[in-house]
Amino acid sequence: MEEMRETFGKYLATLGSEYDNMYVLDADLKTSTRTVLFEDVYPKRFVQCGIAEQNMVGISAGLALEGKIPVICTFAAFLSQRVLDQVNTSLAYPHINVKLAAAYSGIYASMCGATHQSLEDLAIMRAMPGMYVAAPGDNRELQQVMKAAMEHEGPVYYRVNRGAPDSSISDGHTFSWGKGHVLREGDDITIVSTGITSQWALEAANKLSSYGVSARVLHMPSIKPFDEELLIKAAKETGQVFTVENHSVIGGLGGLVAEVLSYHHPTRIVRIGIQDHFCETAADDVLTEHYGIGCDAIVERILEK
Amino acid sequence: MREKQEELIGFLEEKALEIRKKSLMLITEGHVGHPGASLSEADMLAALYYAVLKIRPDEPAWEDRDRFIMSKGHGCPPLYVVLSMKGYYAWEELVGTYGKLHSRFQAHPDMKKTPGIDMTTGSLGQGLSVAVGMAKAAKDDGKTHRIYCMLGDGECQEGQIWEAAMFAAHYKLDNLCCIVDYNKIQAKGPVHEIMNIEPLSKKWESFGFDVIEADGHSMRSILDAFYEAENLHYFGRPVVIIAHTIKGKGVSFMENTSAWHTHAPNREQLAAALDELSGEVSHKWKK
Repeated sequence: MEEMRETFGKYLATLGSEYDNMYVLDADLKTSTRTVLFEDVYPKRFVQCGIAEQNMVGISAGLALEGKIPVICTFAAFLSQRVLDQVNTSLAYPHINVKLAAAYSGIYASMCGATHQSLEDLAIMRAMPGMYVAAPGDNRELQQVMKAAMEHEGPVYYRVNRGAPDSSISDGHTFSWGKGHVLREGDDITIVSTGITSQWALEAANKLSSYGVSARVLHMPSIKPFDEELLIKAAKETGQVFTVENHSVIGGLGGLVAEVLSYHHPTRIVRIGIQDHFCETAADDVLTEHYGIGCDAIVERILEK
Repeated sequence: MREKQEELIGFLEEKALEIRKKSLMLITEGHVGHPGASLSEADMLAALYYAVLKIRPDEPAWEDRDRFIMSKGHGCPPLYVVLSMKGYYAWEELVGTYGKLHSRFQAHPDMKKTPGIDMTTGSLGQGLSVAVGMAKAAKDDGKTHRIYCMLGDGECQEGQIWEAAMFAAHYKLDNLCCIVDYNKIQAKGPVHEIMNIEPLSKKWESFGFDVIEADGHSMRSILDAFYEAENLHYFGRPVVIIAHTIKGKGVSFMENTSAWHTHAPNREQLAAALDELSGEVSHKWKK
């Protein structure tokens, strides 16, 4: 399976051929994020901004106001936190047509540790009026998100993972804004997930059947707008809900699900994700296990409840 | 030629006076705004909107217009005023709604609400980056319109300004003209006491800009600076005009003090200010 960032870089170049007004902006991370693959084909529409992310956001706004569709790409940690005020004032408030591609998202920051991990980006971005937010679950869905972002008029933030998702959870559905997907039917509980943890949520649900637990799995790549209907229906039919995410349990998918259900159908919710602490440096699989967002940890948490 | 120039200067000075008076009326009526900066910018806005910018008030989104971004968004009252004078909307609507709910005129410029505003600003340091992005796009597309951006002196303390400056020089954006309203006083005191920005000319120079210094209250000096800036644009370098100004210019009790940085005058103070500026319209405001 190809690394998601590689798919991202290649598909950027594909989109570049479809949209001749598309620009890609980089802050000196092009070979890591793979935006270099766009630069190779369209050097004139690739803008190197240097290590100056705040300015990069403003540049993208200026380009967009002149009819370009800029995709700005850096690590999710910087794209959500370092430039938060710029995204808020220069993009979200004037609703400018810029796409924020957030590389190395969540805890998977290529052995760079807490400074480069983004545990709050979904919480931050979904709180911004008018911002669309997505976290694709596999490479094909990433391409669909990228295309949908180009087709949507307004600011969009989407996550890109560095590593290779080891499943193809987007089989049988196509991404669209505000739509969630049932990956597996079940009657006893619902597991809600977004982004790359959905593969492990599905795996966990399959394992749980051998313990006599019938788990429904909802994959929610569109964080904002969000498929409230699908969630509410599942909560009504199965009762207890578990959320799983490569993100802090505060304000991300877990927070979102709690907001929706507390109003429409108060339900007991267990939020599986990064607890309220910073994380450490380690290999991806070690992090997955240590912070308890992989298949076995999900199964364990569900069985203990 | 010289006669024509004199005529133009006289005309622009009248416009600047009208901008000053109406800005203070607006701030008083809306109970919101920054009088000090409004008065220091007024002459430059008169020159820009009546002699420099290529714009079409009846077609605010005209593709080939010159762009203007007020990076220091709090300097918007005189910008709103000059746009009304140019016909983008009626003065009555502006003065009647500013500072109230459902107005098209926010405390800081909102491009989605106000015709003629090219970019939303307010959080300092951001407008220049957007202007630079516009300049890059214009260059890439072979367009000849120019991009103007007004900065505050205190705003030059923001790091993002210098990120944008670096970018503009790197990409040889000679279609960009920045104006620093250098009134030497920021929100809570003199710039050199709060955080010195000197040597300001050398800073811009070392970032790759052509620097023009001007007297921001002499219409001749302002026009010369804009003409020079336009003529420099074949040299592949962005330009900055450092306009030496006086905060609160024209109203003695508002001059050279941070007390009127953000403080709306009451009716008596407005009347006194208008008296000082001209003595003609103030009776209307004395009641």
